[in-house]
Amino acid sequence: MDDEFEYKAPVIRVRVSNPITKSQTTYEALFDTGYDGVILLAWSTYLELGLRKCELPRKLWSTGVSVTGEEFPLRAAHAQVELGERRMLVVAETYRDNSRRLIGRGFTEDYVATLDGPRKELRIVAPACRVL
Amino acid sequence: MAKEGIYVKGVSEELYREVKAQSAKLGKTISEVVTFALQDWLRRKAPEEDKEFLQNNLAYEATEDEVATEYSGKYIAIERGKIVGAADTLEGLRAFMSDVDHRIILRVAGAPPRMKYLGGSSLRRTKS
Repeated sequence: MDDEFEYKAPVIRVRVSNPITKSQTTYEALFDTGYDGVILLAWSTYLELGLRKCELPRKLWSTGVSVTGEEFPLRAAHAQVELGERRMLVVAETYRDNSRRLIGRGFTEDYVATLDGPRKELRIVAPACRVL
Repeated sequence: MAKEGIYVKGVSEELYREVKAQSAKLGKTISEVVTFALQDWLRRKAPEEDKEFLQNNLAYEATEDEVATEYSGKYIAIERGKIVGAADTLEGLRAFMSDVDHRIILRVAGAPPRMKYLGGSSLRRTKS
């Protein structure tokens, strides 16, 4: 957990890169179980990484729904995410002027995520064996 | 000497009157309001309104069915309104790519779009 946010919050340090141009950035994103996508990038990061050059068709973008019920298109592009030793090709999303950086439930579908309150820790580990 | 200006055709009189009334209440001139609106529009203008973005998306939408049958399971790249290549992996598409401002890359038969909720982190406490 980190103090960069205005409150103690579970954050994950990830490296995000453009899988085509390899341009990359590293930052801490809030682990938000209320977001059911994989990774939500800040609008500025999306543009800086040039993800417009590996974007999904607009017809395949999902619709974001805010807590107030507002709906808006979520631009989507292929991105590579590195977490520790692991590299994953994922669909990253954003929306216009968004400044939030989130890691959502979709990211942890293949992992065991544990919030340890007393230690102020978020642990993400790959399961020893997957239950099929 | 008359000030330089522009004349815009097609603006409804009703809209103009409403803007004039509202701007007067705020102590603004029509000129200031229109300038603000035009600057705001430019600021908000989406990159998706770029020519290449539209070309690529219109090309995909026009050939969606054909793409689904012909390239099932493959990655395809669309540049300047044309499918420029298909490959089994994203890496394999590199050979077909050129220098563009916008490109669509798609794994055909990927997950369909859906609603995604972004609400969780909006509830914040500033003090514990």
